[in-house]
Amino acid sequence: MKFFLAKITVFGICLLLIFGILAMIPSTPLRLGYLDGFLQKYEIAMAIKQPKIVVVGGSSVAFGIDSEMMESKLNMPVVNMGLHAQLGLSFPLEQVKEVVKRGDVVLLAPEYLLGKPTKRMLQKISRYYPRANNYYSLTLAEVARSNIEDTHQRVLRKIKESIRNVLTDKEVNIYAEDVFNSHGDMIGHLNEPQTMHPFTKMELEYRYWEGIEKINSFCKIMQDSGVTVYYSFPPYLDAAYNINEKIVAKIYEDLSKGLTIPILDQPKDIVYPRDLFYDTFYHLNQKGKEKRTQALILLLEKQLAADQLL
Amino acid sequence: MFFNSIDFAVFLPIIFVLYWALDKSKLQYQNTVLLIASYLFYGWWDWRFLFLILFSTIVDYTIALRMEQTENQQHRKRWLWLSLGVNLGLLGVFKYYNFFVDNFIAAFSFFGSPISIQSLHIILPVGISFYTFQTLSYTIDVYRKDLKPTNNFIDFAAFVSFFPQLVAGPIERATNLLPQFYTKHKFNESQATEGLRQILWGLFKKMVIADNCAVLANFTFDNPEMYGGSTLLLGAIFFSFQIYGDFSGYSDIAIGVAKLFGFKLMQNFAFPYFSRDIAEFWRRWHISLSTWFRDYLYIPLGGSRGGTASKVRNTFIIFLVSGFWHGANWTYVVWGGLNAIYFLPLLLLKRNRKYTNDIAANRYLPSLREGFGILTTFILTTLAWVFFRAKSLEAAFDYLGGIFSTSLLSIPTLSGRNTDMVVLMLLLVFFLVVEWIGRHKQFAISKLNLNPIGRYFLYLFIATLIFVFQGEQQDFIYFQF
Repeated sequence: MKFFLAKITVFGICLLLIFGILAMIPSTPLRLGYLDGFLQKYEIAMAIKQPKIVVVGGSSVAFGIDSEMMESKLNMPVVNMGLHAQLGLSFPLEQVKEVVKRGDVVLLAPEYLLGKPTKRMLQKISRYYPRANNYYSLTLAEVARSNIEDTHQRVLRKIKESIRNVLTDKEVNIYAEDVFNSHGDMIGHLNEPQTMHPFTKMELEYRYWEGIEKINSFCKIMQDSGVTVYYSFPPYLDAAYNINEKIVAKIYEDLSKGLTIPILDQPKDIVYPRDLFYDTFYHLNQKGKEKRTQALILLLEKQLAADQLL
Repeated sequence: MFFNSIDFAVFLPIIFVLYWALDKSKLQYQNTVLLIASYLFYGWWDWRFLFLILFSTIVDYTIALRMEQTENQQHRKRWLWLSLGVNLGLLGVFKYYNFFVDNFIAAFSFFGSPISIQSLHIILPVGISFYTFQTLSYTIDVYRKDLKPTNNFIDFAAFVSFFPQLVAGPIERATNLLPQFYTKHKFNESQATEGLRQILWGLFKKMVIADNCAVLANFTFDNPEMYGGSTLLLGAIFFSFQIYGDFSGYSDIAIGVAKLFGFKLMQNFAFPYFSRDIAEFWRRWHISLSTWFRDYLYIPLGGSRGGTASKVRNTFIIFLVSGFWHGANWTYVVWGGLNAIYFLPLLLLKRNRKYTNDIAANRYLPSLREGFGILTTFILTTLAWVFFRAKSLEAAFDYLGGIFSTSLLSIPTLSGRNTDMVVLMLLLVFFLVVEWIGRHKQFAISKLNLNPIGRYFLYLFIATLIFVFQGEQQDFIYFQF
C-alpha cells in the first residue's frame, strides 16, 4: 500500500510540474479581447457630462443597438453598456450604478432569464476591469479553480492558433479584436458574412425570473437618484421564438405583473428572421440592428415625451 | 456526483483510505463503508432517490429469502412475479408512465375520441434502469437456483448500490458481484495500479473525446438545416464517438474504481468500432446489457432455436426491448428495430458468429476485407445513432435526408469552428491508434508493452492531454437511462 501511495504521489508531483510549466505560458495582453469592452464602455459613460441614455444588457445589446442613430434622433448621448450574458444581470446593474447621474435614462434589455454570472467570467473580467472586484468576491477555491481553467484555456488557445496558422481557411474571430465604436456598440462583425453558431441551447426552461426583484430594487435606487428606467425585450430569432413561444409568453406575463417600470414593447415585436442575425439567435447584423434601433427610437420617443424627458 | 468532478476527486481518496484502513477488521465493516459511500454517492444527486433504491433492496432481499424457504415451485414463481412486478412497476412509473399516457392520448385523439389523462411531473431517478436490472438478475438467479440468497442485508444492499457501477453500469450479475462481498479483499497493488490506468483512460475518453465531440455534434443535430450533407455526416460520426467515449469511458472509470477496492466488474465494451459486422458489434457494445437480455429474455424465448419465424420474432423482441430500455421515446425503439434489421440477415444466413476471433490477429493492420467490414459496420451504426440522438422521428428523418443530399460530397465545414474540428480529428486519430494497439486487452492502455519509463511518460502525456483538451463538461449520456 505504501509503495502504491508513493507512486501516486510521484505521479501527482510530475503532473503538477507539467501544469506549472504550462501555467507559465503568457496570457493574452490586456486591452485586446472582447471583454476589454467593459473598461472602454465605463470610460465612455463616465466621460459624458450631460444627461444620457444608457442601454444595458448582455451581448444582444452590444450587437443590437445603433447608438449613433439613436443619439441623433433623440438628441441625447447614448452609451451601449451591453457585453456578455455570462456576466448575468447583477454585474451590469452594479456597473450602471457607478456611471449614471441625475437626469439619465437607463434602458434595460437583458436576454431572457439572464442568470447568475459564471465564476470564471467574473474572475476573468476583474483582470480587465479591476473595479469589478467591488461587485463580488470569490473564495480562494474559486480563484484557484478559475486559474486552472485559465491556464487550460491559454494553452489550448496557443495550440489552436498554431493550427489555425497552418490552415488555409483563416477564421475570423470577431471577439478577439478591439471591436467597439466610441459609443460602445459592437462593430467587429458588421463587414463579416453571416454565420450561425448555436452556441447556446435554443430551448428555454421556464422559471420565475429572480431578475424581476433585482430590477425592481435597482429601479428604486435609480428613482431615488433621479434616473429613469425602462425595460425592453431582446431581439430574438424567429426559430427560437417559435420553440419557446409559450415560455416567452409566461415570462412576459411575469414581467408585466412584477416590474415597477414601463415596459416599452412585447416579445413578439422583436422577433426577426434569420437574415437579420449574425451568429447566434440574439446577435443582430447591420440590417437587424438598424431595424431594431428604429423601432426602439419610436418607442423611446413616445415614452420620453410622456415622461416629459425629451 | 460525477466521476469527472472535484467532488468525486475528494470523495474517492477518502473512501479508499477508510476502506483499506479497515482491512484488518471484520469484512462487515468494509462492506458497511462501501454501503454508506454508495448511498452518499447516489444521494448527492437527490437524497429522495435513496428511498427508492432502499425500497427496491428490501423487496428483493426479502423475496429471495422467501423463495429459498420454499420448495413449492408455484410459490417460488409467485415470489418471482412479485419481484418482477415491483421492480418493473417502479421503472414503468418513473420512466415510461408519461410516454404511455401521451401515446394513449394521441391514439384516442386520432380516432376522434380525445381523452384526458393526467401526466406525472416526476424526475427520472438517475440510473434506475441499471440497478433495477441488477436486482432483477438476483431474484431470477435465486429462482433458477443458480445462486443462494444472502442472509446479510448489508452485503446485499452494498451489492445493489455499489457506487462505481450504480448509475450507469456495467449491469452486474448477482452471480459475479454478490459473492465478492462475501470474501475479504486484500490490497493488491498491481490490481489497484491497473485500476488507476483504466480510470485515466476512461477520463480521457469522457473528457477529451466525448465532451469535445458533443460540442460539434450538438451544432449539427440542433440546427441540421444550416449544414450540408457532408457536415451532417461528420456530425453523426462525432456523435458515434461521443456516445462511445461517454459510455465506455464511464464503464472504464467504474471498473477502474472497483479495482481500487479489490472488486472485479465485467468488461462492458470491447472496442466495438473495430467490429467487422453488426453481430460482432453487438458482442462488443454494452456487453453487460446485451448478455443480460440474452440470458434473461432471448434464451427463455427460445433464442435462435426453432424456425425462421421464431428467430425473426425473438431478434426483433430483443432489439426493440433493448431500444425501449434506453428511453421512453419512439426514436429508441426505431434505433433498436434498425439494428434488428441489420442483424437479421446475418442470423438467417448463419453468419452471425463469423467473427469471434481477434481482429487482425498477429498483424499491425487489418486485411482489406476486415477493413471494409469495419468501415461498413461503423457507417451502419452511425446512421442508426441518428435515431438515438434525434429528438423525434421526424427530426431523425430530416437529418438523414440532409445527409443524403447533393452536398454529401462537399467539404464539411463548421464555420467558426473549423479549427476545433481539426483539433478534434487529431485527437480522434490519437485515440483510435491507441485503441487499435490495445485492441486485444481489457482496455487500451492496459499492460502496455513498453519499458516502465516509457509507460510512465505515456500516462503523464495522457493526463496532460486531458488537462489541455478537456471539453466543456457534459452530463454522462447514459445517466438518463
